[in-house]
Amino acid sequence: MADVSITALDKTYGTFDVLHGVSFDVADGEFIALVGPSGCGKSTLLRMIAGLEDITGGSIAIGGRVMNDVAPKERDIAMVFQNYALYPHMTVAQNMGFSLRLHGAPKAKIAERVAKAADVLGLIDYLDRMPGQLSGGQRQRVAMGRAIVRQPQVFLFDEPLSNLDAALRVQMRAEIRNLHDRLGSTSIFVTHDQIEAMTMADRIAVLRDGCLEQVGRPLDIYDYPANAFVAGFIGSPAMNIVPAHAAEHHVTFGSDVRVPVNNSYTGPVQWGIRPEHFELVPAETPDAIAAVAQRVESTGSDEFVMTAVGDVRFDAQLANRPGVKQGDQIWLRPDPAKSHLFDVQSGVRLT
Amino acid sequence: MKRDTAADMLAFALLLFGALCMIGPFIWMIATSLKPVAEQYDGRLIPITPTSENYPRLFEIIPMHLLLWNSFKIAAIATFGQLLTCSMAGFIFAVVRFPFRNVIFVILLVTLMVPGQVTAIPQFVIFKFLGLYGTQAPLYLPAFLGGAFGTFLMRQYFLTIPIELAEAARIDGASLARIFFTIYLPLAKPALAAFAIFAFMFSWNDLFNALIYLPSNLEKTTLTVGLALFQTQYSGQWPLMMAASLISVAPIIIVFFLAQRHFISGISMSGLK
Repeated sequence: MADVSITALDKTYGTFDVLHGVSFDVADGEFIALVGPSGCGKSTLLRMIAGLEDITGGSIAIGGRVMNDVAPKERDIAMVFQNYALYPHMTVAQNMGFSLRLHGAPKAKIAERVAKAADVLGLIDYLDRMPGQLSGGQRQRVAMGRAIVRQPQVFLFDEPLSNLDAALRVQMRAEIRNLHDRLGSTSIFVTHDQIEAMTMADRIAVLRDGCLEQVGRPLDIYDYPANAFVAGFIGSPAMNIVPAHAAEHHVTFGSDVRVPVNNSYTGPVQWGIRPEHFELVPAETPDAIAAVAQRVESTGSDEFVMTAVGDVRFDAQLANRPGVKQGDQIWLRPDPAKSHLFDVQSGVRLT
Repeated sequence: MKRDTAADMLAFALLLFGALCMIGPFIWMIATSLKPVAEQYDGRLIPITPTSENYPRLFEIIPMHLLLWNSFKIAAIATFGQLLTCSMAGFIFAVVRFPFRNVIFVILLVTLMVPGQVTAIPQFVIFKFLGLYGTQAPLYLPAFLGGAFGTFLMRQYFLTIPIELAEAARIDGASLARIFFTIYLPLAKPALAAFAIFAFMFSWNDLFNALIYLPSNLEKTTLTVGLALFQTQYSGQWPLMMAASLISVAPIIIVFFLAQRHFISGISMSGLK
């Protein structure tokens, strides 16, 4: 096992910049998730770590060794692809044993390692099948098995769950994390799904337009997003972000709506509040916002209410199904301790 | 529903007509080859006194078995050469990124527009210089130098194979040659089968080069040359000529039926999604 160190990494295709000076470290045995919207460069970054893309500038080190000019096969990594990339003309066992075969391992050793991995992944009964005869989840497991068999220093995952249906995705999420804990390996996991990142990773790296926006533990990023972009990207449903004016521990927005915040900043700001940080309160409660429920969606456990205060729209997630109806006038009190202020221009968090 | 049936009937009739147009001359050829010479101009399709004597006679008049063997040997070697080199070139163009890849590929395609006659003389000079004139080598050696058509065909097929397979294999530790021989080539069976038919037919039907490089020595030459000679010597003997023609197309038909299976079987092979 090994740590991964990424320093001032740049990637350019012709005149098109994909990554700008990305730096972060992954500790030995850590599970880190790279998240960001489509085209943010997260897959490119992963492919650079794998050695499938050239490095324009900066460096990548695995286990202390700079890997910039090292061939993929000598980096001691394994990668699980989004489409699994199983060799269609080989059986499950052949797929899983392929890398060992290439490294000239004796047949008995290959069979033993494949059997062990298949046992861990519940694939024992499928070793003689072809990939075409397997379900999506099983193929996913074979792809994982192919990676495990090699016993690499670092596992790389490129959106491995995005081709699975919702229920299977949740199940595989847990399985991948369990496997990581069991093997004690270092894992780098690319996803566009922030829920996957939140639930699986020890730390999350958020990318946007080739720049690293924030790296941190999931709850730290959730509680203290470094800027308005991270605040809006992490958390589902997304944080409400409203142009406002801050003064004397209050923000004012719309037609003179005032709410308290735990922040003494004065000036124009973006005020952020997560939907779950609203409380439904009786009419005319001090510090509450009067809003009209425009649409109500019930998830069973919660009620998700889309409201409007004048021209300003808010989403609120109310626990315990209070029974709000469409068109109701409701009073919502934001939690001042959970409010966030961001700079109007740069979007940087103001403390 | 009724309208659909009518449209289907029309389509069916058209297809049937097309099929008849295609198979008509072929049936005529078979029928004529079974007639005695006396009946060749009687205007009937079905022979009155069917006979198979034309076939043994053919083998008496010219060394058919030698011509068949020569043609087969040359076509088989040429097909092997084309499959090997064109699939290699196609693989490189489809999978490996290198500077000016597309420009080079376009230049390769442009060579399709150069007629064979243009290069015939320089090629002749080269083979003469190499001392290969009068041998069969000039008929199959060029096949080992690739070709634009086959390279294009194979490249297009390799492009349909997800690049992740090559990437996964690279990470697994496979060299480029390994990726080609153990991953891409086995997956390309349908394309190889289709291309094999083209390559085999091209070589089998080649009269031009055989006339240039092989003297009219019936021991060494190909079936096409043999048939051409035969045509001038025995003109007017249609049943005999039709029998010779049938023997010359039979191997092509056999190759087609052998390769046909792979067209279908290979297409469903996709381990993705």
